[in-house]
Amino acid sequence: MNNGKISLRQMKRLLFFDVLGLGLVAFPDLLAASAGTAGVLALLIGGALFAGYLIALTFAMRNGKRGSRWLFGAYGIYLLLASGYGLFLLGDLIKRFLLPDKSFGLIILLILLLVIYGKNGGLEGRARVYEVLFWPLIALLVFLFVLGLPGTEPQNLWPISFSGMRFWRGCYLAFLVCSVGQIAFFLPEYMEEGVTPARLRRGAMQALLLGILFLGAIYELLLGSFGTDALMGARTPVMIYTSNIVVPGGFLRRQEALIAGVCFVALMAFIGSGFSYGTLCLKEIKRSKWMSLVAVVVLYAAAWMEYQNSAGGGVLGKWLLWISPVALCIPFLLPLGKKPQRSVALVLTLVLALTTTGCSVKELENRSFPMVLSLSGNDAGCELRYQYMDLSRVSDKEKAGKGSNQLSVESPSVSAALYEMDMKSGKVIDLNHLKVLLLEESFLEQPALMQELVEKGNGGIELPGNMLVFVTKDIKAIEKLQESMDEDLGSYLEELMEGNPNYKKSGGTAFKNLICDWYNPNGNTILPRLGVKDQMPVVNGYFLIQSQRLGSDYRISKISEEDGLIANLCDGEANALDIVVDEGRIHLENVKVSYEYSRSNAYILCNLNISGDILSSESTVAEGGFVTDKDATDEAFCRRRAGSFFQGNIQNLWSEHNIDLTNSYYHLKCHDRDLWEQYKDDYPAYCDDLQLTITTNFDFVE
Amino acid sequence: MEYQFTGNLQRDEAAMVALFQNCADIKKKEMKIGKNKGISCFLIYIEVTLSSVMLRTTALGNFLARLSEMPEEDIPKVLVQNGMGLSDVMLYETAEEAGEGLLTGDAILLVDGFPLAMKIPDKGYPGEPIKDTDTEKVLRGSNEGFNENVKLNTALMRKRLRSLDFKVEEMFLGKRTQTLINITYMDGIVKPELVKKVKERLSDFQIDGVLDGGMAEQLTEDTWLSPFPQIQSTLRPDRAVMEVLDGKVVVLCNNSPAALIMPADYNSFIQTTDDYYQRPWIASFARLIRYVASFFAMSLPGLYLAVTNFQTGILPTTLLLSFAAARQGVPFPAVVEVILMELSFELLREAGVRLPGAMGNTIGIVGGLIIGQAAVEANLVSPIVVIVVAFTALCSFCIPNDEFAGAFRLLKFFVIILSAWLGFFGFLWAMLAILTHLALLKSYDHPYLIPFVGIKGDGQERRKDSVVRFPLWSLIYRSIHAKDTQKRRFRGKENLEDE
Repeated sequence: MNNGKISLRQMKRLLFFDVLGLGLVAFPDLLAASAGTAGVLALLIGGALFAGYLIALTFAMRNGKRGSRWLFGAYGIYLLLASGYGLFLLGDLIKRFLLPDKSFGLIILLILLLVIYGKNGGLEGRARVYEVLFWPLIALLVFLFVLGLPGTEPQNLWPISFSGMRFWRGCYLAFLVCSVGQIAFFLPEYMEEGVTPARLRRGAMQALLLGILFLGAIYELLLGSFGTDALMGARTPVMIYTSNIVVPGGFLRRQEALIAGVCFVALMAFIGSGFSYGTLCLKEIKRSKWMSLVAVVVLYAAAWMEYQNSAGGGVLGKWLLWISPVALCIPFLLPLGKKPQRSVALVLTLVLALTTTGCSVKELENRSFPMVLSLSGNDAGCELRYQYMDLSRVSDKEKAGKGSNQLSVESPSVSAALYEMDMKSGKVIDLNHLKVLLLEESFLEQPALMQELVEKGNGGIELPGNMLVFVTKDIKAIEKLQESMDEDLGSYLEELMEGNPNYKKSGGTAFKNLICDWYNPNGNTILPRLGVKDQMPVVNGYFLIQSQRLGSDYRISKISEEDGLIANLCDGEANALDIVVDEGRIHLENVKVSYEYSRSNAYILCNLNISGDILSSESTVAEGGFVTDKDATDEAFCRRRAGSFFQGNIQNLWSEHNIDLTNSYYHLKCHDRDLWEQYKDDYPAYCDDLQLTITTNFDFVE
Repeated sequence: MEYQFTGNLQRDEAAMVALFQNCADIKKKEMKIGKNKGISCFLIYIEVTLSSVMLRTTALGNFLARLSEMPEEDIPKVLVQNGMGLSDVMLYETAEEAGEGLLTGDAILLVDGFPLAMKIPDKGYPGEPIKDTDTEKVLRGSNEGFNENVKLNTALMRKRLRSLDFKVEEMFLGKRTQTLINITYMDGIVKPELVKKVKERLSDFQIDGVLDGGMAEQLTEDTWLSPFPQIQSTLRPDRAVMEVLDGKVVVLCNNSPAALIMPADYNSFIQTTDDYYQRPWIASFARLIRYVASFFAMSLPGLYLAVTNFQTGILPTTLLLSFAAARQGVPFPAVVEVILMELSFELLREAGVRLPGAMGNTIGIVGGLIIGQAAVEANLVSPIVVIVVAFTALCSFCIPNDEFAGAFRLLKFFVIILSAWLGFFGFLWAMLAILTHLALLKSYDHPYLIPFVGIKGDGQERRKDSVVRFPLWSLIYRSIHAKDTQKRRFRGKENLEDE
């Protein structure tokens, strides 16, 4: 203990966090863009390739010293640049999600301060930190991702397809993520007694394997939640994903701060490792404590330059992609180094950090918390309105229905409207608690505005992904209802959907679902339509949006309430339904929909099998009452009426309006790969060849 | 130059008087002993350290009485052969040694014709009797506490540890105070290098005076820069014995009721003795509470600021609106509110310590009323801040060791400032910085975060006595501070014959 040596367990945990840090933040969207649904396979192949590299490296290290020491300089610069890239990633994440008002320079300076402090304590100190944090962070990660499981759609994971060179690019990216394991080159002299190179190699591989498994599981969750296209378009999708997770009990509303904590700790490990070993390499050229300062400057400059170029896609990241294979060859040519001395960089960084401060704290009472965001389209562009609760009403015991406050702006684009709203409001607008996004039909009919809205949603977490989306013909009419309501409109609409059996799975269509369906084309998005009944807002119908690629061609169809319910059933959102017939109502429970595809001549036959239970009651037939009784005739009647309900509605919409309520095209990829390959980029041809049949099979249950 | 006693009472007496000139508290008494009062003797002592020597209640009194009845010719032989059987008598050859002996609180007797001075113990310096501890209270177990007498304290440990292996080594600290220090340990269990290191550190400095164990602690700790104490103090003999049995060293300092335990670690500061006297379920629950409390004692105000000023999305909407409404009309920013309240609380705490008895209890009520009730009604602070500060204080009270709790009280302000400045990032930064500091901290070469770091193999068994406490029968091994050959402390029925 306290001899500068670390145990195998400490090494494994440190290495695991090195891999996790980079993999969690930078990797999922890149992997989605290259390997898509085959991302996990790419990850495994990349990991296997790196395992081979590690074995080769271990043998090379065993064969002793060779080569020029000046290569250390080159290798050290590479490590520092990689670490600088990690610093950029972390600084960018902090700036975008936690501290948008602070300067990037200050954020990375503070991170550097902590990195230097950790480095000065030696590898043993750093290893202990991650030894302690291992289980708490794993537990938190697992907890967050398990909570997010219900929001994933298995259809997004299929089919697994290999897209040639893009797939191998994904493997290469995975190899690069695993290549943080190259620090094993530096570790032999830091390992405690009894740890042979073979044990070190095995330990490193175990750590990498665990890292790969975690990253693979996280990737699958993200893929299932976003879909490939939305995932590749999202920046730092892991943050967006966790911002939509609902913790049971509702104690925490948004969880991206928690995952930011995990990313922070994990990326610190990566940055710390790169910085430590990069400095070590530089000191092999010249043993001077000023080399630490040089290393700090290189790190800072790399992160800063990448940030300046990030709008254009970045430079350092791309450069590292190209130069890494060459850099990874260098350890085979290097002798083993010695331990570094302490640095003077700590004081300098501390001074710099303290002098680059800026404090703009927004107190709670200086913020307004809109509950409803309304967007309507007009000739000039769009009109954005917020409705928020006046705080004096919150503290006032006598809450009479006094309505809520409103703000509105008109602007040619959504982003401009949001910006102008910030400027117009006397208080800081805090969008974290938006509950409802209310879209007017006129807004839906403008593809450019819709595209901008979903891009904004997919680019960050400014607009909460878990706010419910509604459509209405007249926003002002809905907003006017607030005057007669005690509760604020947003909370009311949220509760309206929570108890709605037609949205049993999700409690409504969330903004995040709209975004993902927009990016992953050829699916159905069903948005509830709000109307007014008895001076209260009610759902009296649905809008079905079928988007094509990138929303340049999408179609909105207004469908009836019944049709919307059928669409929800087919999507798995609901599993219960009341069918209104002249004789009363038929209540269906446990409704399941399954698809069978086959080819017949030039047609695709899609047979929808709808099964479930028809519940009976003891009461006699009465107007509005349930159809009764155990009489066989009634059973047959109910089955027949249920069957004709589905048949009629689905076939009617398909044959007369070309609206596929069943979303059969989207389900095709999970059921028949050959047919999917044939029609995957040709939805119109699919529509031409499709023949829908529906069979129903209901059990009568007492 | 040292004066060697000659047996000539006049000269010997003059030497002792010269040593203690201008010392009004040093009393000198010339007497005659022997049946015929034929032999002169001289008694020198510190006032109040002697009981009435005329009463036959002390060893000195009895001794003088017997000498007074003895024939003169027998007296020299008795003195030489210690025929009175006084076990605590020490003989000195020089006046300087006799002077130092006198300063320990005993009396010095010079007898004409006897060339040595005798140090005979008597009442000794005034001190507190053994009483219950004021702090470190436990729900179950003895509340007997150390007092200021190092001999008594050692005896309290010896009372619980009746083993030949329990060793007590003496040394003196402080050039002028000559404070007696007892270094106690279990020979055979403790690592010899630890004892050596303790003695080295205690010898590595020279100072005028060591008035309390706290001074010795500061002069021997690993780093003064850390707010976390690296040496643990306890007022409880049972705690001291427990640590000695675990292979640690306990240092007792005269005039100090606190024993110093080294090495120390985070886990040991959270443990209490009644963790082992109670059943494992309740003990584990209490320990878990303390661990959580130690986290919140440092982090809760900062977390509140981070969440309400920056990451408002974390809180449920209703709660957030309630917080925001409660802050309406408060003139100060939230960070000023929190710091003001925390400082007020620290003032209350300090005042409560300094004020005597009943007034100290009253200050809590008055302070709570003034700060809690009136400040909120005057809209100087919001109610939620009062709750946060009060809860934080409660958490710090749950930490058993006061010095350890002090570290959290200090770090709390560090976290508050960073969280107020940088929100949740600042909070994370502060937490990671503190964790890194703890990971680097050591106490006598042992990592501070043991048993959570740095141990392997059967060392991981020690985790059974960390956040939770496994049943006593499963705590088979001593702590890692014990010698490798003395790991096992418990054997069940099936292993009894293995020893």
